[in-house]
Amino acid sequence: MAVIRNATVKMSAQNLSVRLAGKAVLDNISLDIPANKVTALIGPSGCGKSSLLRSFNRMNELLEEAVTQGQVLLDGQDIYRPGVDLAELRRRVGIVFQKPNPFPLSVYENVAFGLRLQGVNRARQLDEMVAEALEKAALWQEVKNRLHDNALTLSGGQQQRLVIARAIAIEPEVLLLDEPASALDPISTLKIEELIYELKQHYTIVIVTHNMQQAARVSDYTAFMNLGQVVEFDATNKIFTDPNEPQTEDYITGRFG
Amino acid sequence: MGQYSAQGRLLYCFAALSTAFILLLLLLLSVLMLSRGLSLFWPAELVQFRYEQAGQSQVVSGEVVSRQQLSAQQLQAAGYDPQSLGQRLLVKQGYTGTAQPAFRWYWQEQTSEWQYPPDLSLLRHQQLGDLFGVVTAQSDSELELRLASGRHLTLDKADVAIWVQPNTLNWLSKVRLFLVQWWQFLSSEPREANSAGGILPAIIGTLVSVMLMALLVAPIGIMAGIYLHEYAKDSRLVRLVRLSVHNLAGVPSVVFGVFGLGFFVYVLGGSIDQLFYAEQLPQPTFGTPGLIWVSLTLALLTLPVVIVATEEGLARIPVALRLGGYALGATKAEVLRKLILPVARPAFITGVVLAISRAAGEVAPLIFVGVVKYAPSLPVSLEWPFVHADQQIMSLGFHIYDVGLQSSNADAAEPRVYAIALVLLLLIGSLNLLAMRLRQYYRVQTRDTTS
Amino acid sequence: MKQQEPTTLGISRLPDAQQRQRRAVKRRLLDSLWYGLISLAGVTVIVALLAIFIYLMSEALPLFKPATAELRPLPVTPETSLAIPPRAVMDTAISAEVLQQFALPLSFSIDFQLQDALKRYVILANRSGEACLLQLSRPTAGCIQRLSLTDRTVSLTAITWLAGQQSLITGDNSGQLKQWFLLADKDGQVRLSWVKPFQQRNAAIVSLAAEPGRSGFAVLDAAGGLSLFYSTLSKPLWQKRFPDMAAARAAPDELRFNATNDQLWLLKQEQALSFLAVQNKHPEISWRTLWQKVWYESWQQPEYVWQSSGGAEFYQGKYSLVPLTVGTLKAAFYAMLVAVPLAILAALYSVCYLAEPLRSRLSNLIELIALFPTVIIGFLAAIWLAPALEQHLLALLLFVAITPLLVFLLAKYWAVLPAFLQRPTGSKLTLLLMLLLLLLSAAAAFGLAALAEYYFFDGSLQSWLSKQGIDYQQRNALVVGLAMGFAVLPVVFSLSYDALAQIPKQLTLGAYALGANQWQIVQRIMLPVAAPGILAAMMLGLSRAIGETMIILMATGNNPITNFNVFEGLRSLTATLAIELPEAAVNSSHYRVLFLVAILLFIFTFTCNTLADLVRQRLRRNLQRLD
Repeated sequence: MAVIRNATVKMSAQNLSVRLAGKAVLDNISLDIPANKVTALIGPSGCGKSSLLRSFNRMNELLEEAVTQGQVLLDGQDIYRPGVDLAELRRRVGIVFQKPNPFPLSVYENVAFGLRLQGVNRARQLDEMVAEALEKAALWQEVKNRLHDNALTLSGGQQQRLVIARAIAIEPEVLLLDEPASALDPISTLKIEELIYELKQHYTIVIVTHNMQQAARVSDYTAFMNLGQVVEFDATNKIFTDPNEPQTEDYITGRFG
Repeated sequence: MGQYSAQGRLLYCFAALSTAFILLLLLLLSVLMLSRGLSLFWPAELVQFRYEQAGQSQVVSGEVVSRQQLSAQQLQAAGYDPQSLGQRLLVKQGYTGTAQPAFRWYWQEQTSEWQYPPDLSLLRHQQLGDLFGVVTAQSDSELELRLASGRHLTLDKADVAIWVQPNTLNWLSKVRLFLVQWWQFLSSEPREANSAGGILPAIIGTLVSVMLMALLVAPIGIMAGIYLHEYAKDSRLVRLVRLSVHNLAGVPSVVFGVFGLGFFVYVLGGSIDQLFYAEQLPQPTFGTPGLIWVSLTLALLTLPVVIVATEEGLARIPVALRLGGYALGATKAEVLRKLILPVARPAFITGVVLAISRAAGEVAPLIFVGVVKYAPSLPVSLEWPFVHADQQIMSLGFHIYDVGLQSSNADAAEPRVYAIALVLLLLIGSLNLLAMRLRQYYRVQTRDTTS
Repeated sequence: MKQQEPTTLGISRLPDAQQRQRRAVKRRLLDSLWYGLISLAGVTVIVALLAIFIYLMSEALPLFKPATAELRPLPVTPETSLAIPPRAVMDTAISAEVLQQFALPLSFSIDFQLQDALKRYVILANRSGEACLLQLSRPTAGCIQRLSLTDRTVSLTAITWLAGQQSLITGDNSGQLKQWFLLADKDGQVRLSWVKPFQQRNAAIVSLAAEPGRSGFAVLDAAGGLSLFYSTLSKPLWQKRFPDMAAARAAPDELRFNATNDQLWLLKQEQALSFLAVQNKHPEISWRTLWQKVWYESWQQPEYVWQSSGGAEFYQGKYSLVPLTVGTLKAAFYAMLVAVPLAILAALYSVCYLAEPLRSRLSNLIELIALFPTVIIGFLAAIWLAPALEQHLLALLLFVAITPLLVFLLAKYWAVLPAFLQRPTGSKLTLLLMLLLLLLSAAAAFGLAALAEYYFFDGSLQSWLSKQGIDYQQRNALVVGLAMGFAVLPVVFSLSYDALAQIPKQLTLGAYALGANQWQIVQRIMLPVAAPGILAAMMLGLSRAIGETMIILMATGNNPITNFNVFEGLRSLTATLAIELPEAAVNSSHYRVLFLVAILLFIFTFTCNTLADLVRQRLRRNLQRLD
């Protein structure tokens, strides 16, 4: 699509429709996600932005009965084609949920979990990769002395960064963030936002957010969704300053939603 | 909050009354069990009195076990004079000669010269049982005892397990004797058709059968629970199956016993005999009640308990934990093995412990499949295969039934049953305490995960 | 669109793609393996659990298999296993000399004569149906009874003892079959009395043959009809017409069973014509004999009887499920009578009047009762409660009467109580107050009982009762009711508690806001909303009581009697299983009837539990909708 400049397309939804438990939540969506950029999905509650996000690594089908039509391309290949290795797909497309969900294991084991699945077994290599992931998630300084404490003892913001560290440890190509800061206090939120800014150099990031300022601050592109459809997709600047659609303007200025 | 009307107050009073009544019953039951169960081994005061009946006079010594006030009707019915008699005493007089009863009733009115002689001894003899008398002489290997009747007995010291003079004991040595007697009770074999001696074979029988049951039921029940909760699709059929499995827990245990006898013992055991022990037929090896069938029947009986507990444990696992696993590219088996099972493990153990506790108190189904009054040898030994699955066993629950109701020597047996019941109750109580602790621990764990 | 590198970071530190590919294959394989293993285990267990029912059925159903018989030709070469069975000993006639001692009526031609096994009585009969009963020890008495074995115009054609020789079957030329019992009348005089007819045959009876060892018999009629009967049923178990047997040339004149009752031989002048292979394993069992009154041989009238074994050499098991079912229901009824009011009121108390920490502590305490193994409760009931109750029955009855009276008084004069007791927050103290009241009432009951027994009941209630014709047994339904009520109590309590505690707070708070008082809330909101849950609790309690074995086994006399007298014992289905199954011979009718008992218990409790479960699920859904 013409809106994406100076970037390749990493993922792309094409005529995507999703029904969850018999209810249509996404209706014929087509959307390109630019590589190494942050794309924000905004829209009123229930507009389908979280479902769209989850359809990018096929998480929808884990929660309820999901029927998906259309295609989602990752590097040009449809992830809904038969015979896709779901485990590998989810390694390549990581996801972080609204509420931090660390495993009831140690901080170290949380990060090492995915690595071990990928066959990283040597202790030294594991140590290095865990430390690297924690560093990238800006958590290393805070937890380096308590790597073997239970992850549940961390604060909410730390837990969320740990979950991000866990996700990036296995070197995903795309990172999906589902309102990653909405359950956190302002300081933690700030840290997460800084982190997103850091991470976009290495990863393609898609973020769902309710917070308009946050979308404006962290994203390069923004898609405004309503009633299961993408109303408008453009560079964030453009959306927030000069939207094409009156609906978008209404939402951004707080007149609706 | 709220106003009480007259009817409301009445309802309130009756509700409180019922609660108080239930608590009172519980209290009464506990006190009864504890006092009767513990007093059996508390060294009682030994008495000596003169008893006159039909012109004859004799000296009796022993423990007064119980007193009974008979009504005039009962006395008349038994052919006694209700004017002169009324209260009677049950005295444990121990061994007084061959074919003499160890317990005898005496009319209170016909006794006299009550004494508590300090030198009156209680001796526990390996063959003769308890003896009451005065030790008149002793050497290194023998001692001479004068019974109340004046008869002298010479006993080998090696046969005497306990020798005390209860009337001279101070509090501390009474406690010691109490503990020693309990230990002997728990660690020795029964004698005299289960009316004396210990209950070791019953304890071992219960423990072994229940442990074997746990080994059978734990993996199978947990796997079935995991299947129902994790793998089975939520279809109408699966819901029906789940409902049936849950409600099997309410089917009377005796029905499982019937199944155990018909299917396990006769069909399964009979086939095993024909296939592997054909040379010993018609003498059955497995085609007859035995330990393995007891454990299998108990396993079947407790399977629903374990399945339900497993499912409940899995249901408490937060969805976020699973999603976290899948999000990192784990397969279903990996999520289960590495994330869910470790967290849910206390719930599984709780289920198994509850199953064990239920099985330990079970009696009715076991009558059919291998529990007997008296088993000549223990089901475990140091010889291969260590656990003898084809052997018949004793169990605490059945021992209570048998000693309590079927004993030919009711006076001697009855007090013992309270002690046996206390042991069983303690076993079940501690198992449940364990289950409760585990459940608490599990709740704390899963709460932390969800928050 | 351009393909992207795996990561923009440059070099990946994960194992290389090929290695991961191999690993992925392995992981997928493991995943399927787990799936297979767990599904296999799960499905096996579920199938096995459900197969229990099928197995029980397979053991019990042969009881109701209809009898079959097949005509088999005689083997060309004689086989030892297929020899003509010997003539039964009981048919031997008495000698003519013996008969001469009796003063028989003139004109009495003896066409049939039968002697009983103990050689005490002889029955003589002639073709016109006149019969005469002789007592061998009293030759001078002549016929001690004269009677007609047939209706006036028909003639007697066949007569035989049934095995056990306590009853007689006669057949006549109108095809009628009648059964006669040799019974002592009121004066101790033995008489032959008519009991019942069997279904009439189409033609004259040619021959009768009794089965050895049980009360069945075979009938051959002149039209070539063969039928098998059993003494307790009037309809034939099996019948078939063989028209060629009616032809004079091929007509057999005698039927004879072999010792195991699986061959019925057709004889003509002691020569075998052919035989029938008979499959008739359990003729004595049918729905009718299990559930209706049956007139057993040598009984004075039809009765419900459960008597699986007896002293006599020839013994017919009597399997009526009525006494056992009544016993089970009786025990369960009295247990529920004790448990239900106590449990529901206690649940109401803890949910409606207690605050949280105390509330769950109380419910935990009451649920402790469930830990007592039933064998211990049964033992206490038999050894401690039963004798105590025998001595203090009146005291218990008075206690039950006095306590509510005291509570009425207390409620009426509530205002007199100190203020701290009156406040709803004092509900903890009310409990102590009630405890006190209970003790007081118990003391009063004991005192009054002693006085009342002395003044009104001649010193003992039991002897007074027995004078009124009420039997008092030490181990009776009252003892069972109390003991089993106590055992069932925690089940009913905890489910009622759950049902009441599930009611959302805003429902009651809303009612309070509208000015309702406690009574109105309990009556109009709590009870109606929780009613299905409480009903489910009662159903589960009932199912527990019906399935309970040890308490009933120990605390009753295990007499299979059919009544609801609270002071008499009973025998339940479960206790019968516990007592008799270990002794029942495998695959005998007795064994299979016991399996049938197990199935009845299974079906009843399973249905009860399932219904209760469904009711509870629906209640939970409804309440969630309210939330």
